[in-house]
Amino acid sequence: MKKLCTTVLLSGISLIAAAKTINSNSSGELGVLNGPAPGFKFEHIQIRNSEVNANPERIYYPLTVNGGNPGRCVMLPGYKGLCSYRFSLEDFYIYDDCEVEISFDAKAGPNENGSYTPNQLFRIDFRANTDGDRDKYYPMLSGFSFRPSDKWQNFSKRFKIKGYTNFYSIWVLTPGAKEINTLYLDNFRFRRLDAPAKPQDEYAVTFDNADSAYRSGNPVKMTVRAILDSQEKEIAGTMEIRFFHNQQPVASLPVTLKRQPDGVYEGSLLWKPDRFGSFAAHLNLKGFAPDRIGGEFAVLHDPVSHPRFSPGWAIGSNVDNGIRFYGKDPLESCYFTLAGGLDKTFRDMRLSGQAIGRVWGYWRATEPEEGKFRKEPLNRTIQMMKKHRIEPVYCLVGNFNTQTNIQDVLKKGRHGFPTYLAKYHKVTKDNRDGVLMIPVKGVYDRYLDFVLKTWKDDVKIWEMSNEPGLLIHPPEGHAKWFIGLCKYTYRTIKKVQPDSIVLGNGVTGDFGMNIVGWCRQLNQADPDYVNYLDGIAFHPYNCGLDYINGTYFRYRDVVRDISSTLKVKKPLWNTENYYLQTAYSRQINYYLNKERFGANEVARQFLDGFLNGVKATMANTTTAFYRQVNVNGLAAPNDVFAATNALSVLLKDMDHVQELNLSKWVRSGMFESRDGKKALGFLYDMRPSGSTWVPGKSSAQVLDIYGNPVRGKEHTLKFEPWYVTGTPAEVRKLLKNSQFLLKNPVEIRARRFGNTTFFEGQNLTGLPIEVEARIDALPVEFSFRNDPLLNTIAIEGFRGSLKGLTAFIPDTPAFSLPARLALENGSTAEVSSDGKTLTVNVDVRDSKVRPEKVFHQGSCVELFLDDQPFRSLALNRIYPNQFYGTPDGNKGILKKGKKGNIPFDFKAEKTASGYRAEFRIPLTGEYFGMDLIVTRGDGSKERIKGISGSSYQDRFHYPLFRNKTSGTLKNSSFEQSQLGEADFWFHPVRFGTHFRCAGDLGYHGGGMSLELSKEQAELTTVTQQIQFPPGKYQKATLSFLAKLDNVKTTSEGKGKHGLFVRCSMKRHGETPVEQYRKQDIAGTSGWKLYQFPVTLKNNTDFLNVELGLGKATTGKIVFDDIRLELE
Amino acid sequence: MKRILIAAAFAAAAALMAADDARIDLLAKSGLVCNSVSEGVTASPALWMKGREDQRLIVTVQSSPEWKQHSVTFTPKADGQIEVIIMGNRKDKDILYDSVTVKGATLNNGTFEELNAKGLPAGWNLKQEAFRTNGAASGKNCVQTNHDKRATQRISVKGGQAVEIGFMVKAAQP
Repeated sequence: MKKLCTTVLLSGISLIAAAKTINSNSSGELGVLNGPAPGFKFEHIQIRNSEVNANPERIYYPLTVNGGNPGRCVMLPGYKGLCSYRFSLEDFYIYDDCEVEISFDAKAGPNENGSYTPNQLFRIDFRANTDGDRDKYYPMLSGFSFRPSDKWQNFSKRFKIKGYTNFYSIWVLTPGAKEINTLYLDNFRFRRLDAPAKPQDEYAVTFDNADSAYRSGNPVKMTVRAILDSQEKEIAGTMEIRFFHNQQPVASLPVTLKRQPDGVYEGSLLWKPDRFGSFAAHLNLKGFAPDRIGGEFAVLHDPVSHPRFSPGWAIGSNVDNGIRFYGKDPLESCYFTLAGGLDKTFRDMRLSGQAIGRVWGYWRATEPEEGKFRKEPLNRTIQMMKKHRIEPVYCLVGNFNTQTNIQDVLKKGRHGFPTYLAKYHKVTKDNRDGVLMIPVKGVYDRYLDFVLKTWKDDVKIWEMSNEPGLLIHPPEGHAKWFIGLCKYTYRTIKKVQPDSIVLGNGVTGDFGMNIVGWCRQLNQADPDYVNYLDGIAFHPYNCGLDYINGTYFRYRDVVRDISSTLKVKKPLWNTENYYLQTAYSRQINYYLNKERFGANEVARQFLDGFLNGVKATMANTTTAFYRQVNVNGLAAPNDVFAATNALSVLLKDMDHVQELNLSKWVRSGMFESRDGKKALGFLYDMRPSGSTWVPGKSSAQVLDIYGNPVRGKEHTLKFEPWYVTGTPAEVRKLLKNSQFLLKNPVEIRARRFGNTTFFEGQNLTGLPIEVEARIDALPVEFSFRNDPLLNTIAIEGFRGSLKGLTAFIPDTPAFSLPARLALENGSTAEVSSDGKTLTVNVDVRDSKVRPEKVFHQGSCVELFLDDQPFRSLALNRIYPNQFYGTPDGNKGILKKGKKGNIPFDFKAEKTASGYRAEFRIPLTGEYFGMDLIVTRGDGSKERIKGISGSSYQDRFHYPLFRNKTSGTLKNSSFEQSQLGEADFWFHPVRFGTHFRCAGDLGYHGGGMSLELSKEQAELTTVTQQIQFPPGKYQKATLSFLAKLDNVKTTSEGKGKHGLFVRCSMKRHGETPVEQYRKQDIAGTSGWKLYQFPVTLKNNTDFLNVELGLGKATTGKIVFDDIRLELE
Repeated sequence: MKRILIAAAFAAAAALMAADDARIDLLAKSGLVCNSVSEGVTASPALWMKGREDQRLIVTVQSSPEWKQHSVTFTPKADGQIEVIIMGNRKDKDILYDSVTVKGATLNNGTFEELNAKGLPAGWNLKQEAFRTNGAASGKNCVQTNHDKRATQRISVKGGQAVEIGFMVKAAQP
């Protein structure tokens, strides 16, 4: 639908509150004239090579210009040589289903060549980006086309959208034409139709450097333009400069915004940076912070040069070669992504400290037709790298792997291989993939010949091909064929360049595969293949860091696992790993989300790589180094950029690295210079909560992740590495004498039932594993695997002090079922349970029974039920379920005043003294809290004797009840035994084993001891089986108290020896010590509470719980208080 | 359900028991507790007897080509009788037993040398095919049993009083 817009607002930009737009800078007013347009960017832009080669320094971005409708507007220039672009607004999220409208004013004008094409078609694309965990394709795709004229016109469309978990995008796309008009956009409004009227209140910060990159000593000049709901002539405020990665403020600068004739506020300020890093400028206007657009910038060290093969040299990325096989003549144009220009792409690489770059050598770009070779456009990439002193790692064949239907591939036209190679296409055994098993003679040899001849002076490091081993069931002879290519490549290159480096193998950990599967296939074909490689290229997807979402040392393990397959050890080179799992935030399973990570991730990727012996890392893409959201026309260098820049500078003169073992949770290492005079230490904490780091006394200097010197006796140590510089002795002294303080990994709250104390731990570490804590003198483990935040343990007869706990819930009356409760005015209640249903029979003594339509206005009985009395102990006010029944049989359930839907039975019958009310409520838990209130006919309340509190809201005053029939393990505290044998627990007896259950052995009362005087060939355990309906439970947590006495293992069992725990179920068994701890629990220790989570599988209807000692073990262990919580 | 229980219950012991081919079961209605065993012997409760696991003790050991002495010591939970069942763990492999001794209770004719009117060892309940008159550890006679071919005797025991059963075992030649 088009609307002609003929009215021009004379009073300036309309600031009347309208529905706030979801997109930013809708008025186009917020940029400086002829500067980048805030809130918009070119995600990519395609320019003809002739133009790029003529002006390699040019940078392409949308501009803010005059001539808007009215005021300023956004200009998408019709650049010389423009073939296409994807112009985009900021990402945005909409979580609810709603109706939206895209509306904008547009006009067209002549392009840079002076040419104007009337009626040219542009397109709007609107899409939800796929959340791969739930969808295979984007679930929302819409759009429309528009033909702007040389006059302003309005275009709009309304449509319904689905709420979605991942972000939405709006793109403006070009016509497929030789000459593309300049496009002007104004008043670009994307809004929800149901959005309330609200002022826009937003501002943009633009920098005098369009690329937002500064060096030390360069002042940062900022212009602020804002649209505010105000009429004041001037508004004073402050601009706070913060580190981007942790929001820590570094400067606060005054700024005054003056209202301009067009109604926009404007101000400017200058900051002389006193430190390096990635920053964001935040405006604060007397306690009010409008929405910010742009304002992100970096202050960078001058780049340094590194000797070849030194650690500083070994930092790089995958180079964007600008080639895309889309459309006509793909080799005649160049694509730029977020860097925005050809020379800038490589200049930025150098500035960010990268000294190497992986070049994807598209075979089709070099031999577009059979037998016809060309060096452009790839040569442009090589020469640019040479200009900026970045060493290329040339990947000879992008990809041999393709799809099963080669004709489909050729039809799409986006393949990177020459079309004539399709005749060598083979389909894999499982019919899932295809592969081009090309011959060497007459095909590959001439290609390699050309490549070598063309670039032998510029390229010294070659990578055979990308991920050749990705095929799950490759065709017969695949590995042998690939080894043949490797051998030929190696021999040929070495003849021409004896000192070159040839990388191969190309194993990847992607797609959940066994990452060494390809290595095994190669070994089966010919284990001597490694003799034709100087190094192993590998892609550690999903295992490229030593901390990933609570899992440790995956990177180290994958390096070790690959190396273990090599007949001759060769160094590993990380040539690709676009995704890094973020430590602090969630990434939705979508390509772009996973490429967005921060300073700590990229620093750890490089540092973990060095510690794990990786020779070089060039894993990420170009886009990882730029801000992809909140872009001010041209993407700014981000914290990844700044952290890489800093690391490169700090690695100056460094030669080799060694790992330092400072603590179980702290990863640390030290580089040393070749002359032994200088060192660079580093460390980070692998716990999400981090710790307080107290450096050892030393003359070494501590620096932050951006290389800024810091002072202070202690620092917060998290995933961001700290660096330490100085002489090797001083750096080592500082690190080795460091302390890492973790005050309290768990907040503990407690509540008692009789002699049993329930302790709920709230996880402060962020680690989804077992966390050790102490309750007075008793060491305990809280297991946060099933629930990363809360875990409850129970200890019968706890002997210690409860002081020092975060909270202790005061005792309330505790009853074991069946129980009889006395109310204040003679009414009574009988409470019982059969393990599935809670029955409460209330005998109400009331002479004036008077039910009313609204239950609480007349006679009624209310039950308030807390079915998890030992969970979420930080919360009293949980508005528990409220069951009610009236004498005339009405019943209901409420929660916080709203109707609930738990089905339950209720009946009432008249009695001589009043009435009897019976509730039957489904309830299977062993413990529950409950309050009961009778409303009498005269309006007064009758309560359980001694109980008071607002039961509708709060729960901690409720009496507690225990239903013994709901318990799981029998004789869990070993109080029942006969002749030294525990009832309900069974075990085999062998020579050298000794079992005893006795009343004086346990932590409290009875306990079970198990002793091995000699090693056993089999496990020695006590066992009990419990049964339940099939599939009823999915998870369990096993906890127990244990005391070890001289438990020794004669060999390392990685969790199989020493303390042994196993839970067997239908067709499955879990051994959690081996599974999660991966180390033997042995030695001598006092009582300690252990916890192990178990996942129930195969719809099991039973669980065999076994506890004891493993093989290759001697010593004694005593158990008490074994509990199994089922969920 | 029972098949699942048997298949799943106490997997390690089941595996061990399958490897050990000699077997003597002790059946006691009032239950018994195993105190100790000699080297190589495993004594396990019958986990498939839900709720009555302590009423049957399964004593197993790997037989060898030569006669070897083994023992098991247990304590009955109450006065009563215990059935001693000399058998084997496999149907297809025969085991020879001889010189069965009991301390703490009385067992008759543990050497199998006394014969009854049927020419079978007195005091024992067994079929002809389980009786052998050559190859004994001592004397002439011994028993040759397997999982389905058994020799049994009831002995009286006192609750709380330990009983030690000694026996000699050898793999029968095919």
